[in-house]
Amino acid sequence: MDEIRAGNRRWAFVPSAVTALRVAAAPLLLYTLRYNLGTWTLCLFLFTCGTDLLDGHLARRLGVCSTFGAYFDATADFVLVLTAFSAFVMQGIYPFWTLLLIGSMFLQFVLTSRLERPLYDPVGRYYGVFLFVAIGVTLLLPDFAVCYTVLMSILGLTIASVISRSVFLLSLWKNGALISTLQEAQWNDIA
Amino acid sequence: MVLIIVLAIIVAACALSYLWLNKEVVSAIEIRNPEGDAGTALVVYHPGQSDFHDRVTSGFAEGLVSNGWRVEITTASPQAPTDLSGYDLLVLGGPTYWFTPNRPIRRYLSRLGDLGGQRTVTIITAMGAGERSTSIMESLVREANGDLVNGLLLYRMRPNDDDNYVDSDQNQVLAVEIATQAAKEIPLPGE
Repeated sequence: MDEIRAGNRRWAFVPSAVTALRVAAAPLLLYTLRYNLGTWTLCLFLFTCGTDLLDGHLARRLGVCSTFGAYFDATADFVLVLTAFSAFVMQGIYPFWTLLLIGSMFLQFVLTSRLERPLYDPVGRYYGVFLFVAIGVTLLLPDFAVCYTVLMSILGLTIASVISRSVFLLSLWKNGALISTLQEAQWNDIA
Repeated sequence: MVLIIVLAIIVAACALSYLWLNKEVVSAIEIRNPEGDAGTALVVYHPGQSDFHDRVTSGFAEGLVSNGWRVEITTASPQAPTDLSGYDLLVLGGPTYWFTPNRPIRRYLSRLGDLGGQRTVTIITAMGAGERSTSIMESLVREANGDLVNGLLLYRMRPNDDDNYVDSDQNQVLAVEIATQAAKEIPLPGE
């Protein structure tokens, strides 16, 4: 995946810089959520959504896609989601275990993303998008029942994702391919 | 297929939230200031899943007690008193779910039938959007021939004082203080 053409090297930093804006916005989002600055929170959140759309688009347009960029993008998403939900937990909107669910899903992503043969998880690939939608719904529809529905949906999607991955891993194990699949994981080329 | 799974999870979460959040809670009648002779108030509320409405209701009750009221507090259930003849004030309240007053308090109000001009206060709590809920509650009281003395709307997430932005914890403390002060301003029977 590391195919930064020599001529585009000078633009290689641009997508990551856009991604870095999302990380930088996270503590600001925590502040605005903590102090119930509704309009500022919404603006910041929309800004971070914009950076999430822009960084990948820029990387493809400039021909500077990289493994580091992909991981940085996912990590920035995780930082932002974790920050927003931490603020929600501090406000008592969501319970603490929501953070454990999100953290475990990210850890699962990091551990399995380097496999040559991707894990079959039709739900998990949209998990990040769902969490962003969940943040938006919580901000735009501040209602106890709506948030409870969001919470149960997060729990349901997490369980569905874990089940699909577990079923896939079980099928690999039954076919004797589990060990070789894990051994094929590439850990050395995150530059 | 993925869309169907996600939609199924969300629909199940909606149903779960509706059933779980609107589950009636049965509790014994708690009496505060049993020797109070300024008047007797019946406070009936739905506690919800957090302690926010509990604290607001308790703050309101303490405000009444400080003015010499005898206060009887219980939760909205089939066991809550429906004979209002011994009460000078009825206080109804609970959280907002799906932008409307919670079902237990609405069911209790319908069990009361005609309020016969009973002096009534409504206390509605919400995360950030409670205007519709409080408007519905006040209309229901008037339709039941209640004499609406005051309708309180207090927020958990949205600032309770637009001129003074505080963090979430202080915002909830402020909500309790507003409820206590509002109770102190309730005219005594005969005034």
